[in-house]
Amino acid sequence: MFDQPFRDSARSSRLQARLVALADAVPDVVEAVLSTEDGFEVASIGRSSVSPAKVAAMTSSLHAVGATMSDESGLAACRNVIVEAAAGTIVIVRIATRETALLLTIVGRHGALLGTLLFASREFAAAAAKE
Amino acid sequence: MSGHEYKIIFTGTMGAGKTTAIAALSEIPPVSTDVPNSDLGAFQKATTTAAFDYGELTLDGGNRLRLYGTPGQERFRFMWSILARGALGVIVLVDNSRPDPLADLGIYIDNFADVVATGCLTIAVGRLDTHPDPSLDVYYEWLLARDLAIPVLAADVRRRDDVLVLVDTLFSLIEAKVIAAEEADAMAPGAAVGD
Repeated sequence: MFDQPFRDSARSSRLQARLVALADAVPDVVEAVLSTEDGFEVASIGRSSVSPAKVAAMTSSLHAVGATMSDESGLAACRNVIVEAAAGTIVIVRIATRETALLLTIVGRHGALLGTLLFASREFAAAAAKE
Repeated sequence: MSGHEYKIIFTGTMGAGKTTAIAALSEIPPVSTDVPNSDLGAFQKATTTAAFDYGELTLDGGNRLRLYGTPGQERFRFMWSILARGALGVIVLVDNSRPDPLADLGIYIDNFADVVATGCLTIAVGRLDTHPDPSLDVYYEWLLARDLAIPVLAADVRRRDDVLVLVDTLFSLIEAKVIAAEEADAMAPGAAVGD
């Protein structure tokens, strides 16, 4: 984990606990990473081999492209970015918190329902926004 | 050689001026993927590029350049290889005020090795007025020690004319390479013979 930007360790711990709860509630989630908009990991849980730091950086780029494309297309703010792959689904959701925006990335295993992942990510976002 | 489209890349460390260079040159409003910068320890800058910058420029003679800027930080290295696909040339912006600008340059030389191998690379050194060391001669020596003959220019990327010189320099390298390839094709056995 990069150590510079997210210095509020108590808040980080609370968000980490929320990620654990999310993964417990949705067994199809194989990885979840919470990161800053510029790609630093804040908290993560993982059941896959991908480095959370790498996921955080890729999430930053992917969400930035989604936001820019939404804006250029006149669609206003980008709410989430979804990647449906042959062996699973990735959902990226932007969370506007009191201090700074964060990005949540959820990686769902093959067969995971998109609706379930979206619902879980939005529930998480609503709770994390109050942290 | 006119009426073609070419993709070129601006790369370099965070704060070296990639977004500024593309904004200075582009004839369309540049596309930006800036996000808030939370790493103020690394660079005192409100935003940073997370995916790419994009702009367009038509050169005299009708050739069009698609200008892409990369994110600077190494954690975004995966974007460098994505953006490098199909690129005919790279401009590396080096910030001479950083602690070790030659080491910075080495990172981009290594990561854009495929383009470096074609010779279509130009290096622009910024903030030389306030940070004269290393000098351009030191850059040339550093490159020669690595068997690289690459143009190195001083540039203030806030000035459009400076950026245009960089692009012209790079484009002349690309042009020479394209012409050499066309001549090689024409000389190849079995090439069509004109009337």
